[in-house]
Amino acid sequence: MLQTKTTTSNASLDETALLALIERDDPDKALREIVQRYGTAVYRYIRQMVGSDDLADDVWQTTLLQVHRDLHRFAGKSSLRSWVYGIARHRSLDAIKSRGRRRRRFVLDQDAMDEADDMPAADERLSDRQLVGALEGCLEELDPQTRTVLLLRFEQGFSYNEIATVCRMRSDALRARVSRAMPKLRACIEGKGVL
Amino acid sequence: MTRCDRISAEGWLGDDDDSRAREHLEQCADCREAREAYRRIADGFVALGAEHELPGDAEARLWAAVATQRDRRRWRWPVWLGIVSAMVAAAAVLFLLLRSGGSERDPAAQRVLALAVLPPDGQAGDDPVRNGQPAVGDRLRITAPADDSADPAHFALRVYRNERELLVQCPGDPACVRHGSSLVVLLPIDALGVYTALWLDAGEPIAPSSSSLAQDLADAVSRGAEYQLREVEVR
Repeated sequence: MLQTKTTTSNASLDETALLALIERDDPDKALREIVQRYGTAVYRYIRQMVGSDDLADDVWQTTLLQVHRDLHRFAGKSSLRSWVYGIARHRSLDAIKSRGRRRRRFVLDQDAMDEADDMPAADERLSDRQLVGALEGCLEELDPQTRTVLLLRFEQGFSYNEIATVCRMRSDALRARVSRAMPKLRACIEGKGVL
Repeated sequence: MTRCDRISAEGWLGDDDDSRAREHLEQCADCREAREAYRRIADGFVALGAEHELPGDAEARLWAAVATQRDRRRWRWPVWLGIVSAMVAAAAVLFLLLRSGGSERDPAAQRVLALAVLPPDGQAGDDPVRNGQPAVGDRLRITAPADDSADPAHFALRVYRNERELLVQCPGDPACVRHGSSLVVLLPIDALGVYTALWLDAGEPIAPSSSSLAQDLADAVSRGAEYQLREVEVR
């Protein structure tokens, strides 16, 4: 039997229309919409979770392939976005586990790190890029479960209720996790001479 | 954890209500400093995301993977069903051979893209299809449907090695030979790698190849083309 594809629409569908596509069993078109809507954001989340471009690329492919394969199983108990991020989270954690305990240090901006080592004066404001470099390095030092909560909350802008759906945890437990993690993050970044 | 550490970028994370938090912040320089630090960290998270862009060809590779996944799933039958199907197919082939005097059924007549590995030229007895692992020196025979009535610009048969090397493009390449309603390519295997045949059929002229299987497939899919993929790995 031949594979028949429909042409893509430039207009982005709302979530109801997207769900209708899924119910109509049109996974290709639904995936195209999902990639258009969440593809880049999901990639950025995965990239921060796994810490390397190549691995992020692999995990992104695996995530979206699973989305395509399992769309018919999506029951609508959560938002489609939460469901997609839930898959991205699982695949990212799998990738981190299979990478083993070899902790790869970030070397994102060597200049920024070199300058951080120089310990600038307290009143000297370092650039946002240096903050980002330090933040990225410090995130890598957190455990993956905490990292995913922080990324979903602050990078992706999820509410605690949405994160609770993605991570299958209670929202008050998530808040507590964030409140414990933020001082550690702050101390780590300050330890790099940033903030 | 100090009291000030309980202030996050979002305000209090403890039981204190906002008015108590505000009141405390007015009196506590350390807490104001902490709140400012968390705000900057929160801003850093937003900038963090913008540091990384999805690779330009990621979506094209995704569609190629979707096609491959679908192709594999289509042919992945339960074992018992496979055995039963094989027996039925064998009986049907025997019946057809007896009726037609042994002539081979043209796969193109069924509008199916077929890929077979043949032994090196000169070693083939009666052109038998090789069983087992293909090797360098063998030949690929690819048979694709090609309706006489169809506009040649509306269908294409392409063979790639390792997804990025376009070896044959039909119609147009001398390696493509037309046999009735089918297009046949006989291609020597001269290097290790994954050989993929892609057949496209569209309602409009098919765009020239970019030499990348993923890109070509994504382009064809976005234009509503029908496609089939077959691949074999030579290692």
